[in-house]
Amino acid sequence: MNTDRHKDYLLTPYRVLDLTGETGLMCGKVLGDLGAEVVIVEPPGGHPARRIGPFYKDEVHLEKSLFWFAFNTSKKGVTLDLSRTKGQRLLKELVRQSDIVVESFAPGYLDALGLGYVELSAIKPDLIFTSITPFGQRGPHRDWKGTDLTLQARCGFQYLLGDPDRPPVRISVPMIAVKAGVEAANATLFALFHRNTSSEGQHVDVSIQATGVWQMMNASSFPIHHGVDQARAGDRYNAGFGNARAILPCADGYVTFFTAGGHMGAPTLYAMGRWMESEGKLPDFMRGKKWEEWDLARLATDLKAQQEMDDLNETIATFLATKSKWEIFARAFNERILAAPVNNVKDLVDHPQPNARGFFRTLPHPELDTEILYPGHWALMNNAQAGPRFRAPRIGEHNEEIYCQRLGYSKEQLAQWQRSGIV
Amino acid sequence: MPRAFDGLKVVDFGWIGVGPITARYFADHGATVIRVESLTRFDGLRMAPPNKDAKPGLNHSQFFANFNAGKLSLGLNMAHPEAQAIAKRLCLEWADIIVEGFTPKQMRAWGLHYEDLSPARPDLIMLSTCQLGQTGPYAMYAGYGNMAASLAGYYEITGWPDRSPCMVYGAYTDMLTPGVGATLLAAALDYRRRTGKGQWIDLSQFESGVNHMPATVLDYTVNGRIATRRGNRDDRACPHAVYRCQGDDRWIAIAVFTDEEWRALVRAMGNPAWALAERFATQAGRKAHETELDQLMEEWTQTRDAEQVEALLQRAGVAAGLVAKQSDLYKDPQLEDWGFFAWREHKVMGRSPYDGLMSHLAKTPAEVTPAPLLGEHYEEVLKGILKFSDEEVAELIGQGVVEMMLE
Repeated sequence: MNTDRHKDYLLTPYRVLDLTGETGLMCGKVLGDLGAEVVIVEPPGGHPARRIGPFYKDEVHLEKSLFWFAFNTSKKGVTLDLSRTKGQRLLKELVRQSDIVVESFAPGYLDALGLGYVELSAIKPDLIFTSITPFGQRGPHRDWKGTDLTLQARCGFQYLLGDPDRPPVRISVPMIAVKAGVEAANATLFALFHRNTSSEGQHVDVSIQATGVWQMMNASSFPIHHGVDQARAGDRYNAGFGNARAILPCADGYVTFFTAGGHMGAPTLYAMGRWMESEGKLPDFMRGKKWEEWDLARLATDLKAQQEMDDLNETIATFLATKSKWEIFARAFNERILAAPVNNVKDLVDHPQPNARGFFRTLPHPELDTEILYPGHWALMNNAQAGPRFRAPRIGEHNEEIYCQRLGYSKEQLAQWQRSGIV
Repeated sequence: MPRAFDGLKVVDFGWIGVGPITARYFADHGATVIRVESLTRFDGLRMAPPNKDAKPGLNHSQFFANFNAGKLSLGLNMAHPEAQAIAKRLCLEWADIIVEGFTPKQMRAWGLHYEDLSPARPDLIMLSTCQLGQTGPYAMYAGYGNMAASLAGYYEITGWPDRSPCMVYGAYTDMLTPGVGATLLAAALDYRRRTGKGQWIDLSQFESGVNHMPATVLDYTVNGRIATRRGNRDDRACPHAVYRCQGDDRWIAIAVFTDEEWRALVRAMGNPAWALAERFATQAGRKAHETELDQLMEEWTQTRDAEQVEALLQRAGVAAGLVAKQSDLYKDPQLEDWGFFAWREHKVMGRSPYDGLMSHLAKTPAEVTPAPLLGEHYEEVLKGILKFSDEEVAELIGQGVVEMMLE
């Protein structure tokens, strides 16, 4: 494989209209990065997400939001006032030429404007219409408000994060709608696959709450099978595999270390033994131990086993405290130790692995007289590529291309719509 | 009703999280998915909790069942050349899609690498997923999603600024990567339909993790700012916190992004004098006094029931969410209406709740069906698909090539 930038994109023939707000932007980004022509429709004056920081060089400006840049790569942009009749008519013209509409308005909002699935599928019967909302299109909470914080709470994930003596926490950056956007992208493509074998379009209903439950790995059924709820455990690993400190301080930060026995953990513990022995720091209780037989299942009930776990954990912590993040990563790589540095964003951007794979890529921003380094391809492929193709659109950047060249209106007409605030 | 992938054929060589979850999307949507696994070297998740009646056993794990719902299982001891030959026939003679999640050298060792298969099957689509990708100096790095999540920066940004980082429960990149894998596979299927060309997809779990935080990366590459953990705070909102409520470890999350929402919150609380103070009237004022405001808010919430506060504030148009325990999810009327938990009859575990669907496709609804026992479908696969005779199948079982554990 290589990073050949001349390869095909996977979704080149398809046109997507992106009507989403802040919580739906990821879906269109994914489809655009995969090659679809995605046109994001903004209100005249600019999309509300343009007001979300961080900003380029911290300059608060509608054309400098890094949040906007990040979630709108590979999209074209037009402005259109959907609350006005003429705007609605123009949107329908665009829908006729689209395969997919993605939206994230409150349930019922587009229906009230005559732009819901029922109306749009009447003019474009094989349309895929994807809705991304906090709780889905129906049900008792469908009209509830949801933000990253409150949805991480309501889906059950947040209860599992944070120190036990403080409130549960979210991951400190918004995640749940980002994941939901990716899930909306695959659901949309599943519907598109069906359309291409049946000529049948459909409505795809994505619940951000439901996508959030799928962050919990194995937690959801503990109350059913074990009669307990898993709870947050701070820096300890708490997924029902015993209870060991999983984040340990090291010389220049922190590392994560997975203390486990049996098949999963034995190679790691033997390798740690060799490392400690080579520095004359192997304690007697680790010597000659058969780690395959060290059964974590006992930890739940056996206090002696938990004591053993704690002793081992602390011994390893003391040893690793003198090593750097990079030393630990290199040793983990060479000896297959289940350990990894707790990277910050600088560490991961600087890491040689993604850079060897060409993961981060620059996109030109000529208006800012600069290039910006973005993450990156979605995967490497032998016959195709997938990743940010060009920077996010400026306000109304593609109005002329879409309204004049695509729909055939004159520039005078466009200018008149602009004067009257429709575009 | 039809399902989107009726007739599609998937061989799943995944193990643990990413490969199996990725393949499950296709099983839910109607594809025939054969999970190739082993008894000799069983998938660690088969023993992992939660387990039926809290008792570990190869057919007792809901952890495994969730990620493998709706699949057929074929048990093969891949140390046998005959097992490798059977796996190869499935790939060459039957599969549309192959999913695998080993460290990069394993499939090559079995003669099942994309390059081994594609000359005879140029239309084959194969997803290979591992921690750091198939190429690059650290391609052979071996680990679980709790390592990739650390490498991708998630622990650094979870927890409190005055404390060490917190774990993100589980193996977070295992939760973020399958959605990407399913998206790429669906797109590759469409590309194949139009061009006849297959695809080898090299999906790095680290990269998938980083791709879910693009704004955080740009804040560094543009502004040099290194994000760190900040509890529950957010620059754009105040209050934006989790407050204690009445009862055992009960909490409410409240997020206020505008002054209008703040006024609605104050009205919903019954206009207490402290909340009417001028210094809290604007977002800037609330931000300047955030610690004090959080204390006052919690004084109000802690004598109240979390679900009642949630309902009261949502009625007022304020974003609020109960910090749900897992047991709360089974009582959530919205998840109930959505049909999230799919209670299905498993042959050994009995009626068990499977994590359900994230989206509903109106005309091709997906279905969740139970997970297989280890090696349960050897007859369907070996006789039905590969046309082995009864005698040949008996011999393969006798030689230990074909494995199973059916209780």
